Amino acid sequence: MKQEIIIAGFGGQGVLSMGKILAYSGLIEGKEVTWMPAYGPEQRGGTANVTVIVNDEPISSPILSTYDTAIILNQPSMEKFESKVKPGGTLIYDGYGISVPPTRKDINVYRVDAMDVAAKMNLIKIFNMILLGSYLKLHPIVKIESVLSALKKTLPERHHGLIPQNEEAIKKGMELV
Amino acid sequence: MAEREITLMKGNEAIAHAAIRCGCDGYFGYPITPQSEVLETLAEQKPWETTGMVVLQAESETSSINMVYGGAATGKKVMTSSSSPGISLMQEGISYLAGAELPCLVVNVSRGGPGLGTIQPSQADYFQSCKGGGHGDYRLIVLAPSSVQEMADFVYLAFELAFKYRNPAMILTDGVIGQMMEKVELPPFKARRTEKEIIEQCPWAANGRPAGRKPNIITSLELDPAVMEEINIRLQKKYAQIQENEVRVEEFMLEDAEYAIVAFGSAARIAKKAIEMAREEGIKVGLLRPITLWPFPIKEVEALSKKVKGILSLEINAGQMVEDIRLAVNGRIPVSHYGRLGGIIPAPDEAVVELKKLIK
Amino acid sequence: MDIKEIMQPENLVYKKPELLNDTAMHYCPGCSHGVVHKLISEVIAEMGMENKTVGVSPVGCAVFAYKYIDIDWEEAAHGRAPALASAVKRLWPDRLVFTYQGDGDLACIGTAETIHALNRGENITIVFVNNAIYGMTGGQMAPTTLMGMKTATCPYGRDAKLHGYPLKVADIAASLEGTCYVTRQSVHTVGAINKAKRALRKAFEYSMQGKGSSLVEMVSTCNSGWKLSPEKANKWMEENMFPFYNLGDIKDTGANNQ
Repeated sequence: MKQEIIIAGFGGQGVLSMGKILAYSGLIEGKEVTWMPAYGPEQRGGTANVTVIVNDEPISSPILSTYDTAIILNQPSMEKFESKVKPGGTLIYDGYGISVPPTRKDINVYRVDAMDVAAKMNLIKIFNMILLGSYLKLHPIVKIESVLSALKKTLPERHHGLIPQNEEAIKKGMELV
Repeated sequence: MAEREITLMKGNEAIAHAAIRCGCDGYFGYPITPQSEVLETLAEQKPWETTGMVVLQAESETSSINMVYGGAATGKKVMTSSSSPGISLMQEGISYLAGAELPCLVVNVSRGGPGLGTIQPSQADYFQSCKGGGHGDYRLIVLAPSSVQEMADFVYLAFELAFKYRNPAMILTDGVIGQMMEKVELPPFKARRTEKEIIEQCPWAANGRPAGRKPNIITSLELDPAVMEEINIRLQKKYAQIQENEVRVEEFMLEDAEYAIVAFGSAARIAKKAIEMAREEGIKVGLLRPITLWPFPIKEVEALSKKVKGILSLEINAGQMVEDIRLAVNGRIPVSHYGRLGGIIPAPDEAVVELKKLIK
Repeated sequence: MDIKEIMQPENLVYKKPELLNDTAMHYCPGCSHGVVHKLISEVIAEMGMENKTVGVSPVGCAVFAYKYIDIDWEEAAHGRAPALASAVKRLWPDRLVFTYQGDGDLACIGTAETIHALNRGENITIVFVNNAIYGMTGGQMAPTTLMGMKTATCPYGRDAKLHGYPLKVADIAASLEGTCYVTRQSVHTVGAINKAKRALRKAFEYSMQGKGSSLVEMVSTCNSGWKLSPEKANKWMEENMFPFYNLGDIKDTGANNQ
């Protein structure tokens, strides 16, 4: 199984960390993974995006022009990446940040109101995990247990108390699609 | 500590971890995007408390490379890292290191220029790395990793070659490989050499003259042109030996190829994707990836030109390595170049379009 | 009495230090470098550090210092000696590491390396020979050239409007937290030579005791560059250099910094 994913939004929305947890989960399952960020000062305030590839086979290019899935968190990213989803691919977006919804008919579009739900659940800081949950419901490329192990590995120990909340967020995200 | 560990990390982080694990004695560097994680990771890992490795943030790249010179002259395994503008500033020191025949490692996580340029990835430092950079007739051993795994592995290889030939070695990479996270199996730990071992293995080094030995003097200065010519001839013989013995390439899908892409580092990754896409359309194309940019794989490219009908040089620059390819091909077949500039990465589908132009 | 009869061991009153070899020095007659080389050779031997010393030579007149003193040497690019020395000392903490630099090398092109090595408190000694002129390249203006002083690149005398002011490196060094010992000495009389030697010894001792950075400035002559006989050069130095570059210790925190 192979998934080529772009995650894009504003800096500070947890774009890079969502991608990192997904990549780490793949690593834990012995898959090949790449995590390629658009790095630089645009990470703060501007747009941030990361390309994550999870594959059973060795990965050629970490940089792509089209994607199996796009997870979109703001309008500029929608404008940039809607057209880059492969026909038949998946586009997940958070309704909160989007003023002009996607129009393509040849891809599967899912609106997930992660930010609204996160606000209600008092989980704003980990609303990215809700979107990750939605993604994994649609494309179960890694197991939830692997994601939890990945969280344990990537979060500093002092934040391990937050792992149950992350799990809750992922499960909520799975319900939302 | 476990001998072998598989983990996910950035290329820059892999450089730092590999440096600690390969028994490096000292790192001297200065922050610059997109390579700062090397120094940051070393500072966070505190190897001075474990292996005894010295880590020092210098006041400039000029100072960093001269600290490397100072340390290398004593026989220690020392390194620095920077990105393009910082590497430009180091060129004086690199020329001195080559002139004094000192082993060391310089990592260039290059970015787009000229000038202050951009912080985005680029391969526009090929000329600087392979054709001089500093003054005088000298060569660097230049390795081009195309994965995070190779970032780690080539730290070992670079030091091995640097000490084998008493010559500075460079890892030429870019922001793609430096900033990307990938699976990496960290190479096994090698203990730092003891001072006794260094003195035995590097009898030329200036680290304190024991009674009975003549002073060791590390210098690149010789005012007598006749002697200086002799020194240069000796250097050229060494470079010829390196050219003969140390060329490294990777071949990918070349067995039945009618066309070839030649690409290094991150561009080789993009090339592989382009090859997968082109083959789906029935185009028989493969990749020759120079791993050593200097010594350049002259014979390998020459052999390739007798096998395929055309070569595309895919580079993230305006066409630098293509000059070496054309020299090796010597007019036998068409050689074209495709690259993006200023920090833009060519996409795999763009490479396929260029390949089709070559075939037409 | 013929000369052979005089040259007997029992008549020996002075001898060249053993570390100073027989290579004929390239320095001009009257130059201060030879005396400073001799002092360094003596102090290293007296400390018993002959086998554990690494010197770093500069670009400038003293570029060939490595030809005269039989220790291990590294020859640095112009101005970079303190960077080399920093690395050597950190990698070999039990070695005596010093740089030997002139005013152009240390106070002009190498200002950054000098200030930062001193400010990091590297356990090294910087021997700074200040003769207020570029000797090797033929007598051009140095960062320490005095106001009004004539050189090849300020033939009408140093003018603040055109060239700025002479730099008092030792005073800057003394203001840095990393330095434990900063002193200005000279080697133009026997008394001065003895004092300079004691200063050098103190600096080298502090380096080995890990007390921080030391700067030993030797206010010197350049009779060729100054176009004066050695004797007149010494007099000119006393009358013009010393009032601006005052001799003596500027900072010594080594003794109470155990």
